[in-house]
Amino acid sequence: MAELTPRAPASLTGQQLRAIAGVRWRLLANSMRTTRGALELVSHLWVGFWFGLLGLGAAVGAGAAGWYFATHGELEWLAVLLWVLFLFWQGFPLAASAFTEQTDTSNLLRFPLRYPAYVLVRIVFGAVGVETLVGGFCLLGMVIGIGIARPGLLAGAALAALLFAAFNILLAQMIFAWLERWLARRRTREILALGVLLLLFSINFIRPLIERLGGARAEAGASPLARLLPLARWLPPGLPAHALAAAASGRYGVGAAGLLLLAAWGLAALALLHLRLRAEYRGETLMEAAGRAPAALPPVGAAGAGAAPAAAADFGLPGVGGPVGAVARKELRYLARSPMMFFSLVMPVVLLVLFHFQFFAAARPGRHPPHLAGLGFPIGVAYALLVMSNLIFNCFGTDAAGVQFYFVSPVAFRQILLGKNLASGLILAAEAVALYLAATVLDGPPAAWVLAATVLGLGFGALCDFACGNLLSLYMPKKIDLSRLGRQGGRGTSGLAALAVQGLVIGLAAIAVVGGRAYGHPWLAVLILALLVVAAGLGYLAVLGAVEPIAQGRRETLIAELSKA
Amino acid sequence: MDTPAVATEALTRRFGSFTAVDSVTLRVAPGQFFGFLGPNGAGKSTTIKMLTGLLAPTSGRMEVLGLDLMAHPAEVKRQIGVVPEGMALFGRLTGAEYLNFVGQMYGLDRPTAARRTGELLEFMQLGDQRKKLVTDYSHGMQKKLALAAAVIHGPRVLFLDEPFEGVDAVAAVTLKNMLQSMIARGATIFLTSHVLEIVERLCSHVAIIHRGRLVAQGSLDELRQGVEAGVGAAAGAEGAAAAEKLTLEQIFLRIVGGGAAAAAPQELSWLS
Repeated sequence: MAELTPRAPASLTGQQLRAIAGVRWRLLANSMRTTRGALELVSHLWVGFWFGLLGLGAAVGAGAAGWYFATHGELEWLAVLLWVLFLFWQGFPLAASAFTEQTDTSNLLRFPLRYPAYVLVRIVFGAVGVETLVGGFCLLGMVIGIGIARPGLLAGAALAALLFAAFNILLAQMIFAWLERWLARRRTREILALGVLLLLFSINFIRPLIERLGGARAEAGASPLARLLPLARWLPPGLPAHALAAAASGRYGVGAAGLLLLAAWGLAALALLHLRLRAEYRGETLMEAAGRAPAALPPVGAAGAGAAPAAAADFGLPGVGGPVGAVARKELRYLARSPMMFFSLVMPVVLLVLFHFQFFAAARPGRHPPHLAGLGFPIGVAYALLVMSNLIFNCFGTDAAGVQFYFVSPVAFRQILLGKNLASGLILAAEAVALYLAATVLDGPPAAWVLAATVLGLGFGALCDFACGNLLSLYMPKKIDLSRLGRQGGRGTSGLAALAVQGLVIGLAAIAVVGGRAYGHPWLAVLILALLVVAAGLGYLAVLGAVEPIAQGRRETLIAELSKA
Repeated sequence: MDTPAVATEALTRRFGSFTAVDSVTLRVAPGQFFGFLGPNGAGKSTTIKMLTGLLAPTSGRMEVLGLDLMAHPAEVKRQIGVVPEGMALFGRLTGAEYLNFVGQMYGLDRPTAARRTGELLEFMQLGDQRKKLVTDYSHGMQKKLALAAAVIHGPRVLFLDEPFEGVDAVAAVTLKNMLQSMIARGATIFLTSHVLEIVERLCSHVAIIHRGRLVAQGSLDELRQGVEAGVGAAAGAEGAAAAEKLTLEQIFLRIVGGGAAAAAPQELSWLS
């Protein structure tokens, strides 16, 4: 028998956690051996720096608010701050799922890692993100503000902030884990899509009812929101404020109960997360076909009997044949089976609905900021461009080791990229149609010039993205696992470059639209955008003409990077 | 003289200061079942990657069917089929979709690609798995699918990097039958494998690469004779008689040397 070193479970777990931390450090240090690795680190630090600054700014604001509310005995009002923080903490990772990165820890499961240790590692790695950075800074600022105003409340405020942060971290991961599970199956994806569609239409019918009710309540002296406030007190963002307010007025029992309830919310999130992690720990895979029964194997010798049936008919793309059509069809099939893609495509419509209530619906005479009126459609399209950036700027990422096929096939890379861009273009067009319909249902059809400017802006943005994305895809490829929502490997430099390009493109289009409208010549914006489309088209063609030698020169890096386990 | 199916001249590939393939000059005649052997890290996969356009050589020339691969890559690629290391499949397509896609990438029209896809899936006993995602296939099924994809356009030269690795005996029989039928129809097959019994059974010609250098090349009999000469010189007529019965494995070990294995510790005390 091989000699196994006996070791107490706790000691072994500690050793494993130290080993995991050590290997993460080694991976980071080893990544610095290449220029690319160093660039990745620099770009991560750069992004971290700016979000850190944002967090610091927010922390100063939260500190001032905490100090003010504590000084004036209005700690209940902290709930407003905590609700904003809560919405950011949960909303940002979802809205930015196309750009954010997290370490995938599931490959640790081949080691004899105990379940609690796996949960801990998963939660710690999952917590690393912009939302935790900004949220953590804000909570720290708030605690310091309260501590300065009321030193006696410092410990309670720190505990409340800690529990609130833990709840948010657990909830965000729980939501991601369950979304990943639901979006992995075609049936549940379709149900979710139907849900979004129903939400879209129901909101339009419910809105007049809410407004009528709101009016009646206002006359009676109580808005619907005000009536909901007592309920909100028992929800996680309201509990810390309520607990601190109670403690400040000497009702320590109520304060402690509030914090206990907050801890219970956190435990509930953990329990739901546990259901997913436990399944993952036991070896669950979220593959498309995982739910299907395996087909029976044919009896030996039966394979050659009878004529071979032709394979199922392939769907056609009118006017596009040959390798370009084949690549485009392959891309569309791939993306149709991707929960990440589904989520990315649904998010612009969801956000359009949400923002509709915040800004666009509010854009009515006498009540609302006029600068956003009627701009739901273009803003939705701009966001759709953003969520596609992960695929456009890393278009070989989903091919993984399959990218080798492109190099052994007789097809030029110009055609391969054209096929990929065509698929992305079709998705963007479909997204634009969905957004147009959503905006029309919610707010009525956009003005003709807005429609024209948006379509041209989309064309300009897409062409610029395709041109820059094709180059970045060749220079900075990174493998993408389409079965996962988030938890992709880092692509800091290319992600940053993609964001810079997107910022420039969307910024130019926005300047044209806003400028044209501000000076009373909206059709001038359309004309400017048309010129930009022509320029972007020429640039795109130039890039397509130049990709072949670049691809051949970069083939070793592409294959090595995308074939990594 | 026939144009060789595959020919290299002083083919070299360096990775920094490490020379993976060092001035390899090969000739593979049309219709040959050619085995390219070597120990781990000898340069087999690097060579096959260069011959299939996956890797650029540092220096040297490569010709496939008389065409310079560097000058006419697309023309060469149309004539060859490849099962590269790692198979290069697209995991989130079904088996049928994948073969259809590959067929169209090689210029087959859609009805032809669909027909051949059906035939290949049946031949490979994957007909009932056609709607399953490739990522859900077993390793052996993926190997069969990769081979089906490599031949869907009817290549004249087939490059196979470890096609039998991880394949069970039943699947291996299917693969061997297909390869032999291709040879019977005049195709050339260039194969690397660690399974020397299979190479001995299938291949008519063999080359052995060791530490990046080609150390032997020829038919199995020629290799035997080469070893025989060496053994004969060392051990006289008795040794030469023994050499006649050498298996490919024994020839291989004599050529690449078992020195490293002999020098390694023979057991790990803590393991048993």
